[in-house]
Amino acid sequence: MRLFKIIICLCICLLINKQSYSQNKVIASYLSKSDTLLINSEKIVIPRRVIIPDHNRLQFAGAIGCISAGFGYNIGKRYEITFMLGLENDFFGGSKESIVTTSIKNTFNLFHPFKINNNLSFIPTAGISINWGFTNNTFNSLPSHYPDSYYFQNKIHAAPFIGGKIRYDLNIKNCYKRAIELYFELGSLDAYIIECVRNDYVGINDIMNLAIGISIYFE
Amino acid sequence: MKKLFTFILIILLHISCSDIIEYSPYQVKVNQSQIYLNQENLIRIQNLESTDLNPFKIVLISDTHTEYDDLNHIIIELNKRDDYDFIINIGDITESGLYKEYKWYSDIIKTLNKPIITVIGNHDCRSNGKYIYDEMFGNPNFTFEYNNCKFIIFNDIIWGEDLENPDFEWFNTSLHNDKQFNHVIPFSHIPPWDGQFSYANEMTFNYILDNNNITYSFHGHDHHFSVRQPYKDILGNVVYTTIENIKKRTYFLLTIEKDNIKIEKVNI
Repeated sequence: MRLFKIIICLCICLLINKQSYSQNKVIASYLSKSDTLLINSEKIVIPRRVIIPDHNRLQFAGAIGCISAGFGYNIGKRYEITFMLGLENDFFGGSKESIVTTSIKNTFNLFHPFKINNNLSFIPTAGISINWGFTNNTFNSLPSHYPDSYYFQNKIHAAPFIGGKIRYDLNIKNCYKRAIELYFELGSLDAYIIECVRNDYVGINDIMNLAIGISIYFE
Repeated sequence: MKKLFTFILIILLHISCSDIIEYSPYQVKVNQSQIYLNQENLIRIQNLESTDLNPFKIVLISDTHTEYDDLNHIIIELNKRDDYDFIINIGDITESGLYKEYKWYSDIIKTLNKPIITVIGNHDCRSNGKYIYDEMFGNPNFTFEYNNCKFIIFNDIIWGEDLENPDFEWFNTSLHNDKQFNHVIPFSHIPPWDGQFSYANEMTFNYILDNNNITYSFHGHDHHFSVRQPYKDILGNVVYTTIENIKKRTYFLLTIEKDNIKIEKVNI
């Protein structure tokens, strides 16, 4: 339960961080993309802080826990990197043993957004996540009592996915919440893909999982 | 926008019932239809029993791992014949102890006509595998009686569970021939000479079997077929049999007669 509280606190902190700053115009412009300030008719260019994330996410399912939250950065127009922390336990998801998963999600926007109307647009995405699972008996390197390479590591999994997102642009003045996106991802796991290739019995529909989430963009 | 949200909510509710929602590959969350499969099969075995069946045959398979096609193939072959009573799978039903691997295995064995008993293997104890096994198959240590024979299913995995010794105390008391059984036959995944056991464990295993006058012990794990008496020079005459993994598309037919047990390899 303590872990869950930490996740919720983290999530709330991440959601309010930029909103609270936006009250102050100087700081607001300091954080925004136009990093030039005019003080006594002198142009001062301030490097943009990279520590403050560009977007926050809340996700349901997707093999990284029942619920997961995270923050991330937009690098260029096409690439987004998101750091997620997910949880599954008896209360969330109904697993008898609790599992904490951290994930680095690399998402690529495949095409230019398809405009639905002025505010709404649809963007197809694809990418790969690297997931670390923390639960009983998972390890990167084998405990000392095993012979060398007795088992392959079972902590890190690569999870490729394809999906899409519906972007809703918010054009509100003095507010840095610039867009809200609802996204879905159809993903799989390296271990499952190997079984799908090796066996006729394991079909594509057996190895797919669906993730649904919401992300808030500040930019 | 509202319409869109309701649409997504409806989709969410609809799919949350199906398998496409997966929270974690390590999850310990077994469906109600898949719990205590060993107990369910034991009841089916008890119903089979009649007094005049002796001698009888059982089928042994082992190390199915993730060879689902080979397992399916063998199940089709096994469903064609009717001269055996039940099947024992001597461990390693998964590769990494993931929930989906357990689920695929339990789905496949449902197509069998005869009951199947599943022994725990070392691969089944990886990540949360032991907990999934406990939910899906029940306690890994158990005994059952059939046609005046006692079968002992023993969990001798120590590395996956971070134990130093298997539960030898339980093993010793279970092996005791308390009802004048014709045979007492233990099944466990790892043979005593394997590197997982310390020398003391290896000797204890053999000593317990010999002390209880056990003649035959059956194992998997080594992936090849061998019948031998490795401790003949040291202690006892226990015959240890390891059987092949399922990838070689073989199964083993055990004919249990009143005072003898024969093993036969069947190639498909």
